[in-house]
Amino acid sequence: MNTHDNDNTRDHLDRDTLLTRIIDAEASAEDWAAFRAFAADEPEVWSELAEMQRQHDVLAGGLREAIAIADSIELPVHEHESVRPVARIGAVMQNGWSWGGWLAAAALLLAFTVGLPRGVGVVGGMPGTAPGTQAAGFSLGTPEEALDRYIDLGKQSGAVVGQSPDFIVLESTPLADGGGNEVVYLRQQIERREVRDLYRLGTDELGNTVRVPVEAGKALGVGAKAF
Amino acid sequence: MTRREAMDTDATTATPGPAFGPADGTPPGLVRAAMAGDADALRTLWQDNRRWIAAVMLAAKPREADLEDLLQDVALTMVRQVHTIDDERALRGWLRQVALNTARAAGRTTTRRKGLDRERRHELARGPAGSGDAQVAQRDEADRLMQLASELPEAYRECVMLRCVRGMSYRAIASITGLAETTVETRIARGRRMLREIAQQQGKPQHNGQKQQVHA
Repeated sequence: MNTHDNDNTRDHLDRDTLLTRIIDAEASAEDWAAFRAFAADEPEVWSELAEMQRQHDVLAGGLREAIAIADSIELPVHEHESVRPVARIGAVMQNGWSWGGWLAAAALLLAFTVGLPRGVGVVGGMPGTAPGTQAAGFSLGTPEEALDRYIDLGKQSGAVVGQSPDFIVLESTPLADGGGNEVVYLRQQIERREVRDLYRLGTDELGNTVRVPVEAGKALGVGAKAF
Repeated sequence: MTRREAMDTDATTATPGPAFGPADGTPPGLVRAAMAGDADALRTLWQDNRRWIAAVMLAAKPREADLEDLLQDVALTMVRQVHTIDDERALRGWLRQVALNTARAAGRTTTRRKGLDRERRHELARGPAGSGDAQVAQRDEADRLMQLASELPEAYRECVMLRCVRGMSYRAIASITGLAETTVETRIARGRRMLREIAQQQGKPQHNGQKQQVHA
């Protein structure tokens, strides 16, 4: 691209720097003196300066038009509130649950967002929680009892519709004695809520999961991920 | 040595960019507040920096990628990831890297067109179209120079384009790119020289809008 030979490179570099300083209004008195010295030997440098100045002005005008669209882009600060809890949940999952991943994060996100039905503590079903915990004024002997109690109370209040009959197997490991399997599974409860600010999970163009507000009065399709 | 540094033949001394502060008009503590999650501080910082971010992306993105889409991606990343920065002096460099990564990633994904509404907004951003021959010719030349500038080597292209953003001094460009001010100046000088040579080789429009082919 550079058509000048090596012997002239240094001269052209100095001249280019001087031209650039003048164009950018950064030239000192010494720079101007040096430029005039150039111009005394090569008067065409004045027209070169004029042409480069004009070229810069035209380019700057074009670029400013092109980037003016930036002024219409506002920061999606509403994203901020949803980011931090998810980040915290992610840290908890890494420390606590081996298969937590998106599933556990989704479950906890629900708990953070809509809360659990009144009178039901999160006990028995979480790793590291001993059975028989006293919660909300009644005794929960086993996780199954707690779950049954949750379903009963939920149905009474209308917050729980029922329990899905299908258990989804996440992991199955043969027992050491060969007599069966240890099964990790997903059991789904069907709940009902009135939600004023509903979001569905979407994906941006970089593949990141983002939440997208659902228009008020518009129904979500069956199977949509929402929170 | 990075690829960018390897492209340089001038004396490049990378220096950490100065912290945001009174020197560039950013109130003290604003960056820290933004990094801590203050929504107003985040919004202010975005508004103060989005134009040069757009210029960086314009210099790095493939031609077919939509600048508006890419800017929205950078804005989203800023909101979601700004808290991961542990040094306020690193913010500008981090924003530039996010912009570069986003622009380069655009070359690997399909850009969706969003119809006439998008085109209309772009037209509005450009302002009222000139009706005279001189205005049309100037706009044509601006488009041509933008295209030629996009063919400059990346290291020169970014500095030349950043200098076209209002208020972007050599110092401000140095703080964004992490280069020494003297290196920024040299790159702008060389980039302009290259641009002039390319323009001369490819012909330039005369006042009547006709192109004059120049043979080397």
